[in-house]
Order: sequence, then structure tokens, then C-alpha cells
Amino acid sequence: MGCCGDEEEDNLLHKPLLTSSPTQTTIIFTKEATISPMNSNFSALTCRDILRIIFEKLPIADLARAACVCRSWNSVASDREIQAASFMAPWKLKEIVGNPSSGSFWKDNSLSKFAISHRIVRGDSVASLAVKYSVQVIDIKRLNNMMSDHGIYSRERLLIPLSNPDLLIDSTCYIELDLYAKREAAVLYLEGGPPESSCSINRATSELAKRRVIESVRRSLQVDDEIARYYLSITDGDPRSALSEFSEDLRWERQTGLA
Amino acid sequence: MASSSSSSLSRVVVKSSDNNLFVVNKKVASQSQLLKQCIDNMEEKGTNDVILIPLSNVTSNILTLVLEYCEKHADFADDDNNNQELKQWDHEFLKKFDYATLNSLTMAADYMVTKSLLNLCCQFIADSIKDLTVQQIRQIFDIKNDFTPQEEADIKNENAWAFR
Repeated sequence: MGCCGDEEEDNLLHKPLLTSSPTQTTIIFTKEATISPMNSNFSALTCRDILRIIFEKLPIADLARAACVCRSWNSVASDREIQAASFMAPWKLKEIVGNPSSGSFWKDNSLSKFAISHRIVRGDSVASLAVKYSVQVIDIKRLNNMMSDHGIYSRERLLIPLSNPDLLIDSTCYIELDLYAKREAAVLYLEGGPPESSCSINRATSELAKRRVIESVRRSLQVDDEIARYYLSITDGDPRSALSEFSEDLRWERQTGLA
Repeated sequence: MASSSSSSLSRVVVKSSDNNLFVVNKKVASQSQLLKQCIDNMEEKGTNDVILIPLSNVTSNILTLVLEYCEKHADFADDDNNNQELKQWDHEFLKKFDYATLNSLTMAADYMVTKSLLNLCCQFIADSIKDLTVQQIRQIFDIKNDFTPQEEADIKNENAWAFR
């Protein structure tokens, strides 16, 4: 394979030009075909739009290598859309929503990167979910970072390993950082979208985080949810100042003899 | 389907950058959005002259190839896109070209807005890039490494997982 311009030009000169002209297309007037010097290097590969189309068709490992070729390739290959497209391609996903906490998320698009979100309802147990989704109990536990069978009700949802890749075809996944599972996954919702039509990872994470904070404030103040939520709201969600705010109020109540 | 209304012409003339003229069936020309747009614009004006479309960026040997592709695809235009025979033909069509021709064909498909041909070329290039090392890619496609040594080290490090 020619690596320098001259060689490639030679190749082209020795190559027979098209012998049979297409039937419906008639060439009225032909000169000796000229080969423009522009053809000697691969100019198509310096054009961003064309590079994008090519890169969208590359598997992720090849895309990562393409990023190491030169600056313009690097900038196109690092594009979020291109990385997402390459991430989704083998599973025929329709869309992936949200941005990962780090670019390294895109590097692994094996099936284990995906999970189904199951909203916990009364009567659910790890065993029943294993049957429902035809997966192993141990796999559910591992995915959700569970030490025991207990305490699934303290969680809003469990991540279920994906056993049937066909579910991903034409689906939409949401990149979410699950605090309980301690992992970032491409999450699939089988019943509609994520809760409250929120689709960004930040929202889903902050929702979970907020609940945990309320829980801990509630416990340390020994008050009910309502009061914990109130003190959090006046301190912009900072548990530490919520605590001091609360004890301030307690002191005031005591001073004025209300308590 | 064939439009035979008196005002519209069934053929157009396309001129390559090296001044060769190609008479092209309108149905064939319509495979290129660029040509189709030109034809539509001219027809709107109600011209009865032969439409001449000059393409300043495409040489006649490349234009011949693009038109060969368009002709084949115009034949199948009314079929569904998944025609096996057409796919086979596409595959054979690209196989005979060297990289320089493939490059010009890709550029021409982009310029003439022949999306399916552009996609086909890009798929072919993507397939040739697959499994190559960075050094091989640079060599084969004659691409200059414009990273500083530090930049290259960082980027290689970041993508180290892809090198096994």
C-alpha cells in the first residue's frame, strides 16, 4: 500500500479507467482523463463532516485509536455524539440521554453496562425480581452492591441486570449514577421514562441524594420528615447549617420559655 | 411514475471540471440532491432549454463513477432499500477502487449530496480503518502526526485501553 503521494499517483495511472460506460449515460466528448494532484492524498479524511460519518461507523476501540492519529481526528473522535453513537451501535439503541461523569464511561459498552430500573413496590423481594426478570439472585445483589437480602425497601429502585439484549433495540437509555449500587450505568426504564419525566442524570441522582440527606437530618434532629425538610429548605439543602439552624431555634425556644 | 409532462425535460447535461459533458437521465440525476435541486430550480423558472449543470469540483473519471452508481440506484429507486442484489452490487462497486479513487469518490458524493453513496464510501473507509494501528492509519492515509510529544503521550495514555 502506498504511503507517499507519488506511489499512489502511479497506482492510479496504471489502473485501467472504466471500460464500459453506463448505458443510459452517454459521454459526448472525452479528453484524456486527467488525474489531479489533489487526489494523491486522502483529502476526504481532513473534512470534519466526512470524518464524522466515518467515525460513527467505528466500534469503540477503533474510535479510541482514531483519536490518537492527529489533532483533527482527535477533536472529531472526542465528540460526545460520536462516542454515544459508537456506544449504542452494537445494541441498536435509539438514544442515550445524559452525560457521564467521565469520558471513560463510553469505553465499555458490554451488556453489563446496561441495567433495567425496577421501582420497588410492596411484596417485591430479590428472589421474586430474579424470577420476574429471569436473572440470578446473585447478579441482582452484585449489581446493586447489596450485602444481604434485607433492606430493599429503603431503596426506591433496584437495578436489574439485562439478560435479553433485544430489549435495548430502539430503546432509550439514561446515564445514571446510582448511589446505592455505587455505579454509573445506562439505565433502561421498561414502563415509560424515568420518574417525573426527569431525564437527566443530575436530577435522578440529586433526588436520591436529597432523600438520604433528609433521612440523616431527620435522624440526628429526632424530628419528623416535615421538619427536617423545612430546615433543609431554609439552608439550601446544606445539612450542617440545617443542624445549627435547628439548634439555634431550640435555644431560642428554651430562652423564651416556650419549651 | 416517469414524468413526461411537456414542460419538463427528461434529460440534463452535466459538465465535469475538465469540461466533459455527460447526458444524464433525470431520474438518474435525481439521486444527487445537488443535481435534483438544480433541475427543480430550473423547472420552476419554466425553462425549455436543455439544462446544463457545471460541476467545478468533480473530474470526468470520478463523475463517470458517481453516475454509474446513481444509474444503478435509480433502477432500484422504487424497490425497498434492503434489496440484496443492490447491496451486493454496492459492495462489488467499491471493491475495485484504490484509495485515491475512493477519496475522490467520497469527496464527490459529499459535494453532489448523494447521501447513500457517501454513506457507502464512509462505511468502506471505516471498515479499512478497523483493526489498524495508529501508525498504520497514518501511513496508509498519509496523515501527518501534528501532536506534540507531550500531547501524544497524554492521549495515548487516556486511550491506552484500546491498545490492549
